[in-house]
Parts: sequence; C-alpha cells; structure tokens
Amino acid sequence: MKKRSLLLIIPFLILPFIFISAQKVYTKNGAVSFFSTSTLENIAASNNQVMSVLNITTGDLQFSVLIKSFHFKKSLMETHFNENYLESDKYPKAIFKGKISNLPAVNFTADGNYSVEVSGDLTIHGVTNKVTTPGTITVKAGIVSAKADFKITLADYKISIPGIVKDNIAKVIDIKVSCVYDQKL
Amino acid sequence: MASITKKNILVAVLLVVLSGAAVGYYLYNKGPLDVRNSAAVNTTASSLYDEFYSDSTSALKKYAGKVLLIKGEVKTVSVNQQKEKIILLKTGTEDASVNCTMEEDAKNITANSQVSIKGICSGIGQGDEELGIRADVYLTRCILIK
Repeated sequence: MKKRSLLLIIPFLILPFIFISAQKVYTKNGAVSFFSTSTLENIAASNNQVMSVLNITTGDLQFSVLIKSFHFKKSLMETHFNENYLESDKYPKAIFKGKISNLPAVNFTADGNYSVEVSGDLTIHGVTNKVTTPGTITVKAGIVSAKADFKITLADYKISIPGIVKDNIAKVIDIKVSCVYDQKL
Repeated sequence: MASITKKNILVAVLLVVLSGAAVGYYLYNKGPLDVRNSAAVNTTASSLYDEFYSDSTSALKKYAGKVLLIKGEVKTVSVNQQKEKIILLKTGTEDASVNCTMEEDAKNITANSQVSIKGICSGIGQGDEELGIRADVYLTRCILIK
C-alpha cells in the first residue's frame, strides 16, 4: 500500500521538471508598431521582425527591433525616419532588457490573460532610459504571448525633429509590442 | 521696356516657385519603393548570412535598406500576427535563417523547395549566444520571383 502511494507521488515530482525544461520561450517574428498623432498628420508604421526572449521562471524579458524593418506609406517619411531621426545606420537596433516585476501573478500552466508590469532599460537611438509599463501575458494551449504599450518622449532619446515638420510629429509616441512565443528552449 | 523685363523676371520667379512647389509636393507624397521594378543585388541565402555573421558592420553598409534578390532553399513557411507569410530560407548555419516577410501571398511554397525572393534587407537581428539563439537576417516587403 505504501509503495503504491509512493508511485502515485512520482508524476507530481516529475511534473515541475517538465515545465522547467521549457523555461525560456522566444520568437523571431514578433510585432511592433508605433503611432504619432498630431493635428496635421497621423503617422503609423509597423514591423513584424522583432526578436524577443521571455524567461518564464525569472520573468526576464528582452526584445530587439531592427529600425530598418519599419516601412511607411510615404517614402520620404521612411527616409527621414532612418536618416535624420533614428539614424539607423549608426543605431540599427532598438533594444529593451527588463523584467516582469509581478511574475507570481502569472500562471504559465493555466490558460488565461494576466496583467503584468514590465520594467527595464529601453535603448533607442543609442540612448538608454528606465521605463515601466503595463503589459499582458496570455497563455493559450501552452503558447505564451505578451503585449506591452510604451509611451516614449522623443526628447528623452535625443531624437530631434526639425522646426518645419515639428507640428506633424507628436512629441510623445505610442509604441505597441506584441509577441507570440512560438519557440521553446 | 523696363517694365517688360520686370514682368519677365516676375513670371520666371513665379515659374521657379511653382515648379519647386510641385516637385516638393510630389516628393512629399511619393509612395513606398516599388520592389518589383527596382534593380536588385543578387546573392544566396547562405552567403548573405555568412557576410552578416562574419562582419555585420560592413554587411549592413553593403545591404541594409537595399533591394536584394536571394536564392535559397525554404526551411519553413509560417504566418505572422498580421497574417503575412514568413518564409525562412536555410543558411549554412543550423537555426539561423534569412527571414522573409512576404508582401504578397506565396502560394504553393513548401519546405525544401528552391526559391528566388526579392525584398528589402533590414539587417541582422539580435541573437543570444548564452541561450544559443542565432540571429536571423531579415528581409521585408518580399515578393516571390520564381
């Protein structure tokens, strides 16, 4: 009888190790988009080539965005964006390295949407700033997804907009990141 | 006589201003680059990746923002969150691909087939040596040539 109950315990002992074996999830095709809303013009661009890694045991989260992957409706916007504002030849990537600060709020083994807070270092245009922002972790059929919104002030990243188009571009830009972590490590 | 010259100058100035404004307006509203009809740099998925991996700075200068025509073998075909097709081309390195976001639907493309893809190179992504994740080289606005 004792032996039997011991046997029953075994699966529960093994189970945590199965989850631990896939403690890091990643994607190379996450999405990022940004919006600039001003009275003169609304500008939006998106990019589906975001590399992101999430460690589900520590909450470490990072993503990296190639600036040249953004495309615009107007080619002049794209040129200005790359050459004058983001200087993508000099600073080809934007990088976030941070953590989910309330990781216990997420149950990676149960389907659901979990509100999280993400904080860390955001580097754009060669300038790094500390940021904290709300996000959502979704677990669905074993696949983890993450969404986060960042509001960034251009001046904080030393992105200067010349006077002539100053009114066409918002001073605070809304950045949305959305990743489906389809790869496991 | 003097007033005629003055008038001519005025007309000439006006013409210059108007044509300047027209060119400005055209440039301001010009649409995105026409990938299909642009001249392209020819290369293969393997050699493109090797160039980026061995010296990303010079490869960036050479390829980033340029239209490339890449020959390669398809590793996988998937769909991103925007329902665009993602075709990964094999490189000489395991787990590293040339990652192509398709602008047009690429029907009948399956793993292991040979393809030629035209698109704009964005550069090499971020890898993680510690975790053993190799970075991909990215192409956007891709179309299938064959």
